Amino acid sequence: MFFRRFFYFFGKVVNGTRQRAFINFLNIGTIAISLLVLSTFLIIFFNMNRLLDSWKDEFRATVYLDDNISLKGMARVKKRIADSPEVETVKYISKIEAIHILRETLQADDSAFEGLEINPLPSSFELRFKREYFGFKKIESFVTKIKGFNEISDIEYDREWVKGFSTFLNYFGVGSLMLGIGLFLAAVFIISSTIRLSVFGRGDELEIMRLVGATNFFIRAPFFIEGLIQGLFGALLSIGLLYAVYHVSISTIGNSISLYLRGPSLSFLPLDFVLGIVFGGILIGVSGSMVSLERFLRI
Amino acid sequence: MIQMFHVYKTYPNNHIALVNLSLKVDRGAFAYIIGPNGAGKTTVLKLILCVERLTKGQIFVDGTNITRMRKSSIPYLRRRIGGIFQDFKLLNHSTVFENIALAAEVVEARKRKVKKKVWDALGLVGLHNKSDLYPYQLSGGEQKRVAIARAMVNNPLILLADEPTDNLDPEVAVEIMNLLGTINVHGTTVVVATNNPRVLHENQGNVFVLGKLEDRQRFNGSG
Repeated sequence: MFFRRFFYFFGKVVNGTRQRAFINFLNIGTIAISLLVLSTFLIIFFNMNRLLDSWKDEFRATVYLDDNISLKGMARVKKRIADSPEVETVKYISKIEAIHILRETLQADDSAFEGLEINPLPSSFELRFKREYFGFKKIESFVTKIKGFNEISDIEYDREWVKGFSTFLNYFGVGSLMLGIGLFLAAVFIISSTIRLSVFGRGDELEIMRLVGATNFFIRAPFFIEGLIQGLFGALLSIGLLYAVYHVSISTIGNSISLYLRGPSLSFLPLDFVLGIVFGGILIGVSGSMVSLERFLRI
Repeated sequence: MIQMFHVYKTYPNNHIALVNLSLKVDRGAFAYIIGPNGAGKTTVLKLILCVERLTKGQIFVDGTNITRMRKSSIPYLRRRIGGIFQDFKLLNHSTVFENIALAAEVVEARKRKVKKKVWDALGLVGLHNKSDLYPYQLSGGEQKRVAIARAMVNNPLILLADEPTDNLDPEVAVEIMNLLGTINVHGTTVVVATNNPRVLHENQGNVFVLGKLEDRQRFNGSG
């Protein structure tokens, strides 16, 4: 009985799709375009996040150690820094390594350092921070805490860059959230309006079904399946279009952008985002159908 | 079969449609509800079909008090009542066969049985040869026959017909009334709402007269 009914409803959807091919095409097209706008935003947001994360990863702070520090003291400081929740990695740079790095940075030969009787550069720890702890206030409070250690002579980092970048990240987060919500609501509104129009266009059919004794389930089921199919196809179409746009962008300007921004190469949306768009499309398709139908099922 | 006790109906816009209406239609009877436009004839049929809910009173259909019937039970009541509506209510993008099958599919999932029921109903109204046509390709009388076939496809206990002869040529109107008479002879209780008193001369049956509310001539009848 269940399968017979299911095939009956499915058959009704197939017949209905054939009879109202244009309206169905319009619904799928509207879903696809609305989701394409949303997923374009998502892919930009996703790649921006990756870029910003790579910039966060590049950020380093250098903790200079007192010249008179003992090995035990050095180990103790390293442990305390490494145990801080903000810190991702701690790398020790000895005085000799420091001079090598300086030499490489200045691209100078040995003659430049010949007059030096002692190595003036201090040993240090180079710190990398966890992404989730990146932020001006968090780094400032960490620095204040570390500066209290006697064994540390100084901490150096690009304070102005952190400050500016943190402010940008805050605006970026809030702006993305608002834009994302706005685009999502616009997509829901446009899709549900289109579906509502097509459901209203079938008002006579719904009224007749009610009058001849169709249960609400009997009326809803084909609309549920239709909404699901339209949502699924609309979402898949939007993903397909997005991939085509992405592919063309990658092969033309992709490398230039990543080189210019000194970030990772452009990437397509990860699987969970893609699945989210597909399920979102199905959800909007089904709920749009069901909500539009309610006014016809009141009696 | 149908009993109405002191029924009142006021629409949400405060339009009073029925005041203290009582009537009784016996099983297997042929009944007329007659009155001018706006007297509340269609409202009576809508109340029996639960398309509208009454304001006050009691209605029994086949022994069931439908006054406070749960929404989920209404479809099952409607399956026992066939309705022929003034505006036909046929789907123009569906064929005659599909229009009738729609009502059959509501209660029957098996295709073969649906097909048999539709052919039986088409046989009843004499439209076998028009099954593949669309309603807009039919005359008014034929469209009315399709509506009758759809109403009868599930062998209902009661057939409600709202102005079945409206806008039909006299000879076609007679054919339609004869068809309703035949349906009644086979055991279906038929209730016809009409403003055409000439219909009464052609058939015998219980007559309930509804007057305009302004005339204070609401009829309290019994069958």
